[in-house]
Amino acid sequence: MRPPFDERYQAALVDPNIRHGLEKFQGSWRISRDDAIADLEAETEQTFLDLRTQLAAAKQAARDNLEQVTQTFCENARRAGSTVIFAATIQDALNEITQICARHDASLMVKGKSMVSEELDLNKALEGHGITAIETDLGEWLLQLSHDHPSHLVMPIIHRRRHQIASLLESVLHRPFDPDDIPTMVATVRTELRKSFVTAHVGLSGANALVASTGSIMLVTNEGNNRMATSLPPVHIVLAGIDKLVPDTRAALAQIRLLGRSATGQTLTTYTTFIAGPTDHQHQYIILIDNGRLEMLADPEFESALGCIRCGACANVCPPYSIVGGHAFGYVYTGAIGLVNTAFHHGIDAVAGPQSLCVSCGACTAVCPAEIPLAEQILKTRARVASSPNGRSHLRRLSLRLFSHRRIVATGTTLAAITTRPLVKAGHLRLARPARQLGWRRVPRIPIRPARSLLRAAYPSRLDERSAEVVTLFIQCVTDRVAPEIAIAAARLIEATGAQLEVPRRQHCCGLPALDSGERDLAIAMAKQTIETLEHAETVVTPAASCAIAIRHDYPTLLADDPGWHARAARLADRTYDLVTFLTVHGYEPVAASAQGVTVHHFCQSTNVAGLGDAMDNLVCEVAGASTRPLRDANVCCGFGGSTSVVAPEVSSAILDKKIAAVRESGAKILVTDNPGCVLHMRGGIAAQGADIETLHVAEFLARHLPG
Amino acid sequence: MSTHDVAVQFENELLDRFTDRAEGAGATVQTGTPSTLVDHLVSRARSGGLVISPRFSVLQPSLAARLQYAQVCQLASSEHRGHDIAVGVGAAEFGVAETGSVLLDEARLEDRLVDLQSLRLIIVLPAANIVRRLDDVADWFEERAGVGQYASLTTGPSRTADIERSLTVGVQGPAILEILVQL
Repeated sequence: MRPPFDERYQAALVDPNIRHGLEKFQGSWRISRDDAIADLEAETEQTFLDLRTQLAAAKQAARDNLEQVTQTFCENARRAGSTVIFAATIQDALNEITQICARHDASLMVKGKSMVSEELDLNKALEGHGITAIETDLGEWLLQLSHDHPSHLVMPIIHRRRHQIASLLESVLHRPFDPDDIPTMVATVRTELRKSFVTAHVGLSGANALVASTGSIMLVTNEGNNRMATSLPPVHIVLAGIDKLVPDTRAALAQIRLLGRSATGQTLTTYTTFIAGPTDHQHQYIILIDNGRLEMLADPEFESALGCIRCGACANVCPPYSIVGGHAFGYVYTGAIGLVNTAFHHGIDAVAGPQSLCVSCGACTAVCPAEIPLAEQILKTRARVASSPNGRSHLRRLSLRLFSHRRIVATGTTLAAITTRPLVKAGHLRLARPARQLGWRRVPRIPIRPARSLLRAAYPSRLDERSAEVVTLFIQCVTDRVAPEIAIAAARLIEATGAQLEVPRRQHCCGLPALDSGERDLAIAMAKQTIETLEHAETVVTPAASCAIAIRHDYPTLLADDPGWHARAARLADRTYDLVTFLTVHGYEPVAASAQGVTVHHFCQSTNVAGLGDAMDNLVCEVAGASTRPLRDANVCCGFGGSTSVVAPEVSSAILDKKIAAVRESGAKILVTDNPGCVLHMRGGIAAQGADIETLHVAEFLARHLPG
Repeated sequence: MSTHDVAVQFENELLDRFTDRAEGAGATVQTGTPSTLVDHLVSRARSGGLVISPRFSVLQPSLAARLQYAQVCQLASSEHRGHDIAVGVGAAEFGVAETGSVLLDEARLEDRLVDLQSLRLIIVLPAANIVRRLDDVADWFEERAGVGQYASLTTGPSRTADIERSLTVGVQGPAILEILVQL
């Protein structure tokens, strides 16, 4: 149905138009969308979070009662004169459509935009039956002319620039087109398609919602083509997934209230049309499609994704999507939602490649107006891919299994430190022929002594006699072995708040690398080991924001199946803090900083998952008295993404390039951030570019300004 | 303030909000009495006559009669199918202040031909029919359960931004949407 993932991925990497077009698009979309949402919040006197919870609840109510809602819809639609048909599979739906066309002697069809028809690969199938299907939405029509497919749910041809479209129109219409005269190019769709609208035998549309209480479909469109397609031809076919059912008009209006604003930043799309039954001269058929939706409904991990209203916002905030576009970051459905529903509509193999590009930054979850936990569901998809026949990797499992053993890692890193010592230059390793994963960043040197060894002298493994609050330090595997100075700095800062510090010997890895690779059982094993090591603690503090989030947010879900472990995980989650939050709550007395300009990058999940806001900036500014320069897109992922930097390093490095460009723009000489993974990723990239910018973990920066 | 004054102020606020939102979506909004509206419509007819929708003659019979008397209009019919209409005139059931939308009942194909194929579409909306929120028109839809319908909330002229997110107004629908609010 689509070319193999590797082909799509490589093609996207070499296409200069995709990246340029998407960058422009994402930037301008964000501004319009934020304005439109702020406007809605003022209008309704509710927050976006409340509004989306309400929409999610309305759609959930329909799903909880699906049989009844479906029956009500069918009764009302039939009363209005429609014929309602169920199609379990893609093939069933295709059969129904071709039969309808045969019944009405139809050989010409005009189509409004319908993602379900893409799911079916309808146009191709109809061709085989001698039926010509003409796309009438401008973007879809242009794609059809160039034998291409949509790369975005709402902006189907966003991956093509104006000069490409001008060339396309020139080759099809045999007259010149000025690439900068977009209105003239748009005008062609009115003149070229008019005849088709007037002579077509069948008009096919999707449905943005199926309203049960009135038996009507809701169609949302800006151009008006869908209205032409559903009015002029004598037969109207509606193709809709059963997930589109809503109980009543109010629920449909709640949907459009958020749809336009999230999709394009408009208050409403130009036309919101409700259609019940055929017009006098027409026949109307409504085909309700399953194709994996019932399977999703029965799967508690993914069921909520059926609430998607197809706004495309998840693609618009996605850093990897902005590099490769929807053909690689998706299959038929594109963007984060595509990474979740593709397994159900097109099989697990179809999503294996696309999901590997996700950096788990959480931006999609944060922006989704239907409150779908997309980032979490993508990770669950990754776990299913990792255990699927074509997705299993013995090497990956073996590596993670070895990694889960603290002593093996200790021996391994010590050996690596010794053997690579000759290659160290300016804090990084010089490698003669760097692998694909390493060409664009310097690899940090591995110190001989890990943090735990350096801290052992000063701090006990466990404090039983206490004279002050005891804080248990969780170092993090990477910090321990590769960047021990971060842990030393964190220890000094915690002491400066007046707490006593203990550093458990048996601590190792929180399990995030395994979770991030899809090896859920190995992640669970490491989580249990970490819980055992830390659960005696009153307060756990870690300089690794990613581990804090793993312990607080992922552990309870990972261990949900075992009530005993779940309770232990929940208790630990309650008592674990990232360093920034701890320092903000407890306070300490710094020495004022020098005047050098500092800029602050926020670990993506700190904003999108933990909702941490400006606490780090406050510490840097207010507490340490440094002057900060604003950083463009400070909350956007640096591109590390854990497993992404290994399996899709091109995407990882392209995102990093954007981050470094923004850092350079800020004019700051010091870059500060709250997560060691980001520190090493950005430090390596900055070193490779030879830029004169120092990258520090916020602990390192603040520790410079401790007295003594 | 008397109840009447409060009611008038409320209506003015609604009208202001509606105008603001509709203009934000690219429509133009003018207010007038029936006489001024007729004059305005007649002036628009100068370049070749108006095509009025059947719904317009139902909702605005006296306006329709005056236009017919002035011999500047014809009723939309199946003859118009597939042909651009220079100036079309329709009538709205409601206006929604929250979004600047007009609710158009397009159950008959001829109503839709005016709304779809006019290059300039003029919609007459009684000021008293402007409601505040989208929810306020939900009942209108619900009352038509199980009955054939075709109705649109129309917000501004037709448009697309499919090419590089650059906005072009006027695609398969009107390029100009004029809303005439009848006081």
